[in-house]
Amino acid sequence: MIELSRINFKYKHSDFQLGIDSMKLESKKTAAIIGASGCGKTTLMSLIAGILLPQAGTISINNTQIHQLTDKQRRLFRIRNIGFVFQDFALLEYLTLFENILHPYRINSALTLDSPVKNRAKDLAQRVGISKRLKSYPGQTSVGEQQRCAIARALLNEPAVILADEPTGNLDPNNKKAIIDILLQYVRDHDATLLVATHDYDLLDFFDEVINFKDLK
Amino acid sequence: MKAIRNSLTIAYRYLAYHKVRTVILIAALAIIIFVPLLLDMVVRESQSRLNARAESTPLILGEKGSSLDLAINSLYFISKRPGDIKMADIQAIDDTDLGYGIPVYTRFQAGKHRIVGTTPDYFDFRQIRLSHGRMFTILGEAVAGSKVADDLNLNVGDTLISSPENLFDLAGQYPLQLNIVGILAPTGTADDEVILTDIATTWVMAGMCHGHEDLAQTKDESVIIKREKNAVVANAKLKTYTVITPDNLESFHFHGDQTTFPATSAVVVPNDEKSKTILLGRYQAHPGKIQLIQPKQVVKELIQAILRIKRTLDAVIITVSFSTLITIVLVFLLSIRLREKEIKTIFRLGCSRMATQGFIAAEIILIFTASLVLAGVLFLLALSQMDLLIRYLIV
Repeated sequence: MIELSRINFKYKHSDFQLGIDSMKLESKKTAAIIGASGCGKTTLMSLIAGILLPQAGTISINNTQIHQLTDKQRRLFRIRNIGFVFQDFALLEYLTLFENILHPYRINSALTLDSPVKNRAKDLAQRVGISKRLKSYPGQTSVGEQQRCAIARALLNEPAVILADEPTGNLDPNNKKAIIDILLQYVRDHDATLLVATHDYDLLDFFDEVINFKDLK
Repeated sequence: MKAIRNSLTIAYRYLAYHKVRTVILIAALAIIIFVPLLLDMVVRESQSRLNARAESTPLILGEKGSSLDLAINSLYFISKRPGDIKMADIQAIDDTDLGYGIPVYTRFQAGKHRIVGTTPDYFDFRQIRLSHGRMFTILGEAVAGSKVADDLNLNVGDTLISSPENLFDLAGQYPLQLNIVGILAPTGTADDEVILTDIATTWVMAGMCHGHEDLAQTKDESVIIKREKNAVVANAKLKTYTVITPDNLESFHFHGDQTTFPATSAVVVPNDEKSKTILLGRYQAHPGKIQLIQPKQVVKELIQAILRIKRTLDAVIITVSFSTLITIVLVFLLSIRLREKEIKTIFRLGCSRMATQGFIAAEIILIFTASLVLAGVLFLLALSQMDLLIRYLIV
């Protein structure tokens, strides 16, 4: 379960301020947060992922109060429990798609990169439809392929919570549907929780819940 | 260990992707490491070689002029050839009973290799031994230095042709075929890089000695200009031999007084230290065109000049290296700024800030290691070409 209460967050060098009174998403549920561009959806996702820390309020994920954790504990919690699909894909240009999928395992000593992980990565690549592009660099692939790679990377560690920030932005309708299908299939297969930030109203029917960002304040 | 391996892998992937930048950085660092080492090694090695050869040569007799040219040409058979002296000048040393002179005539070449005309005394003096074959005994025979033999793949029984001095000089001397009868054992000195022959053979090349058919018995009257009581005068149609064989050896003869024949210089071996001092004193006030030099002294001055240049070069290299290093540091710092987004991405993927710094450190380590390896390879290459480098850079 994802639960936020009386959150107050402000960036150090910006006037932008985020205030959330309360938000709750039950385990194994899927939800879409909708709101206009720039309203704070990405900031909210980063707070839930523990990348950002609120100045006030509580954030609980599957009964772990992540705002009370140290930086290291929060990082380790994120690595083990949260799969994050970033809006900008966060792929490294000098790594192939396959290396990008495996990248969290190379940079985190808490994770062990072994053959089963590599096989799982290949399997995920197959499922998201980029198995033939694994040796290509991000610059050599389409936006859709990059997005699929970012999803495969987020799912590799089989996280209990998936946070996807605008996962269908800049994609054509066919690709949008395919991406959402991949995420929903994962949720069904792993009993995971999915929270998608989007401003694409066509996708809302796919989710159990729809959270309007305006209602959180 | 796993973290280090992963850091190095990621750093390698980054460097491999940005090939041009990486190659430039590695090359710049390798040059900074390699050049001062090379310079130091060349100077040390040349100093030691110059000293060894000079110290083993007590005195050199030659034409007045540049003592450096005389010393370098007589010791290493390179550099500008000084003017010739006469065999009589060398005989004059012998006549003093204070020592003896060994003539050295370096006028001719076979391809790029110098032909050195001398006497068998030279071999005893330099303690040169044959690796196979035998010493030259008759005109037209020669022994090849070990490096010449390697370069030209020469063996006993092969032949070499002396090069014409000027291709367009119709009145110039004909090339002479040299029969290689021996190969010298390596000495690590300039003797390895020359072809040694009897000085009389080099006089044949110079045209002071030649062989041709017996004019008294020739059947071709068209070569005869006139017959006198004790001589026959021939025209230019008379063919002189360019190959000396046992059959025509007898026909070779000298024209003129052999004491006036040329040598480039002479290695003078005094009987003792006192004789050396006396000889030096006598030649200091010599009225003629002759000088007697101590190569050790000349080489010492040359080395001092080289060391002065090296000190200047050292200062230049230090300055250039320092500014290059600063530039490299700047490149790294700018690259870190440019990679802020990438570093942020890695952090968002769960990497600690310390580990992120570890990737940068791993890149620096890889670049320095590659530079060291490249500098090492260049250094080994330079070591294998040390003779060439010393020749090119020093003498």
